[in-house]
Amino acid sequence: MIKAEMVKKIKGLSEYAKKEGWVFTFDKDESTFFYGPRTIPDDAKLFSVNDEFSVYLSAQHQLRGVVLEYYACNFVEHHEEFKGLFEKIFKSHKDEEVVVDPKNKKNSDIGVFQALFERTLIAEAVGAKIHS
Amino acid sequence: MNDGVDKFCLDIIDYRGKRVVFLEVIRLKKAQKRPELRNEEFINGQLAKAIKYPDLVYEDFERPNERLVYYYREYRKGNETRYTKVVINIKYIPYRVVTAYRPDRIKEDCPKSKSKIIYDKSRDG
Repeated sequence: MIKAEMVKKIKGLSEYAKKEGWVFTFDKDESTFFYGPRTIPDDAKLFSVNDEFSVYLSAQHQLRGVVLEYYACNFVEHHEEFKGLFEKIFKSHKDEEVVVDPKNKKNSDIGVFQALFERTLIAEAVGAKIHS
Repeated sequence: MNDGVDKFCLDIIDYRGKRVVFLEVIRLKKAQKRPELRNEEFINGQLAKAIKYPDLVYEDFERPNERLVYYYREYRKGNETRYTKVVINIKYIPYRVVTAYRPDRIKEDCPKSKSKIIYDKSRDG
């Protein structure tokens, strides 16, 4: 996929995620962070955007989710602005897998995290060298 | 296969002769976010091959003393290379599969998350 197409998809992430009811999932066991539907569809395939994150795309190149491996020890370490919010929302949980729905309006931190996360992904994608 | 909580969906010997199992309960848990793990053909095919005949094995970036990451190169088509990646917990006997999926690059070889390479088939195999 050419970079312009990938960037366009990631720029439309916010609207798409809202429409599809995406959730944040932090798998502590793997230290992997997912932003996508609760179940990633069968036809989704991973494509790396840069060293930090990958996206799941369908066979028709529709966005199906975002994945960040080594999230806590890599991404958060390289993006200091996430540290406090990440600790508050995800790391403090005892569960091995933490699922957070951005529609949860009771916790205002989630909205702040979502906006920051989506903005960061767009900036990363714009600056990325996408090969495939 | 055995019964109860220790039911395995895969029980195999790795490239070094170590027994590796994939617990069914773990597969079910991970399959929500890893569509490949809903596919029996993948588990008995690429995943098994990655454990038995890996092209590359790295220490896990976050838990180097506890986990190894096995890569099996599936194909290269144009600019796209597809791997099977298997994360294995080596603190258990037998070893246990933590998760598996199909990335298009080797995360452990990225400048920001460089991990120690344990085995390279092209060099050691």
